Amino acid sequence: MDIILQLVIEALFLGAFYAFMSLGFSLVWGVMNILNLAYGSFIVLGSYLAYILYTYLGIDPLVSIPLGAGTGFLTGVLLQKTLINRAMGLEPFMVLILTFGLDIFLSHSLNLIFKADIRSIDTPYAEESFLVGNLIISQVKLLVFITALFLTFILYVFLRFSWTGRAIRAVALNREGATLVGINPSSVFLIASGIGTAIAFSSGHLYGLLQGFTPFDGGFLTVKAFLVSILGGLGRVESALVGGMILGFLEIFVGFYAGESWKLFASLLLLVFILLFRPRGLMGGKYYGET
Amino acid sequence: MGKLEKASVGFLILLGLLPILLELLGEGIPKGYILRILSSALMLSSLALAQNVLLGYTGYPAFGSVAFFGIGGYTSAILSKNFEVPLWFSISLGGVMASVVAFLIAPVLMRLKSHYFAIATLALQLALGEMVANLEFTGGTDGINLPIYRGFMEDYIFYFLFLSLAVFSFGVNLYVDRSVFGYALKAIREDEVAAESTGVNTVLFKSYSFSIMAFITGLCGGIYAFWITYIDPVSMFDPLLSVKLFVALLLGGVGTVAGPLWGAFGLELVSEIVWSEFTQIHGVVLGLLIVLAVLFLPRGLAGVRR
Repeated sequence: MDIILQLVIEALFLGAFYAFMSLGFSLVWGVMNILNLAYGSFIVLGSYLAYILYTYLGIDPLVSIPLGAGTGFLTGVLLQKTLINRAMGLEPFMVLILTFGLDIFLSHSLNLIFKADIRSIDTPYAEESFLVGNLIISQVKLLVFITALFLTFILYVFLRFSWTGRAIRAVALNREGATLVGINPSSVFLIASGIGTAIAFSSGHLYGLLQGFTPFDGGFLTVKAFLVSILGGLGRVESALVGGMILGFLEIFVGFYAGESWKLFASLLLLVFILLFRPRGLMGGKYYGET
Repeated sequence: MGKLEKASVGFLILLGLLPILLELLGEGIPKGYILRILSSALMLSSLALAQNVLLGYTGYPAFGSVAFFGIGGYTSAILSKNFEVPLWFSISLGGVMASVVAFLIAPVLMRLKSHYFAIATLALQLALGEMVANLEFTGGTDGINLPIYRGFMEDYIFYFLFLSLAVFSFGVNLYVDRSVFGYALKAIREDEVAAESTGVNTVLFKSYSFSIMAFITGLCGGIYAFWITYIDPVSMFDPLLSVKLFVALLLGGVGTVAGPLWGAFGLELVSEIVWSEFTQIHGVVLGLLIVLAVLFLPRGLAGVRR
């Protein structure tokens, strides 16, 4: 019984991280109908940024999240101006190839600078943990869990109540309609892309805390972000939480009972099945627009 | 036939005569190196031409078509290693296996469209790679070692196998481009509902198209396995190969018969130069090339001419 409870805790912690990590991917997808296959590489980019800030300047990865998010936002805006704006007129699979090319470019550039060694951010509290009853709770995982939930909540409030957030949802729901009421779609695209990449960078900080990373982790992070986005149903912050939790539980339980090496296979199989039988996700919902 | 198609036929014939030239010139030239590059280019051409049947004529981007490359490669490797099936036969069976699997999953998988379909096939490819890495009889992450081929025409055999496959795929594309069968596929590409209502059995024709793609891709995987003599999950289910074949296809022009061939040869040449000149940064350059190709040649080189 204890072991199951322990696994549930681990799954919740991981699930919250997956939920937050995927929000940027699904936001950009929902608003612009673009699948950014380079998304995972931006997460890894965030991890390396956190690594540099911690190793050379001694800034804690959690404290430097605003810095990472800011860099991410600027990167996103730049990306939108240079690449995505042009790509939006192309056929969907051309965009996939474009962003895959970007992914190769980013991961190999990182590999050139940092080499393929596994890096990790060794904060003083990395190894700390405490006992609650018979449960072991790792301090880092708890901190990441709280941060991920907090940032997810902020995004929720922003999309729900702020003027900009509502404009983003309006464009996602109906581009022409939003234009008619005086919203400029292209500036909304800039902001959405900025926020998406900012989320990627910030979750990179969390990812770096959770485990060691290499320049080539991006591919599977993208697949996971995609899975979480379609699991819950594209378009709501709440459904990303559902998707993230499902993936978290799947990975932890399959990893424990069937072996670590089956984890990825299980999530990919789930992805195929969801695509085939529930392509609109478990919770439905449409592109961040519906409330 | 159009000009480009005639040029392609001539080019393929020249490639067929090349070994005679190499034999006549004798020792002075790097025979192995030339054959290796041409073989990779022919392999990429076959993969791109196979995808062209599906994407170019039927309108379904199978981003993970390399899944069938892996199925073909592993099937033939296991058959030859464990049951001592001869080379020719095991490669053919690899292709058959890939196309049977494709035909079985097509009706379900091809209910998805555009990027959903693309990602689903990619997920399938990665999932198969993971499965193969975890199973006992596929050799797990260690992969399978195959004996080096010795015997009849041992220097040229794989070159000729790849060449025959490329010629075959070229022929298939030519047929699809002009036949009634091809019209049905094109009708599906343009408007699936309209095609259905004019009496095209869309599910069946989509499955045919998917299986043809898988058959050629599977054969390619089999030949590759015996050529390289060592296969493992990473190299047989490599997403980079998917991207490469798509870029070749795009550079050449989707939905044209000759385009994929030229695109593949162009890309292989460029990456060979990049590989030898900038060993350190070839990944960076390749990524950049892909981005630039999509941005500035979204319709391919053949598309520019039209």
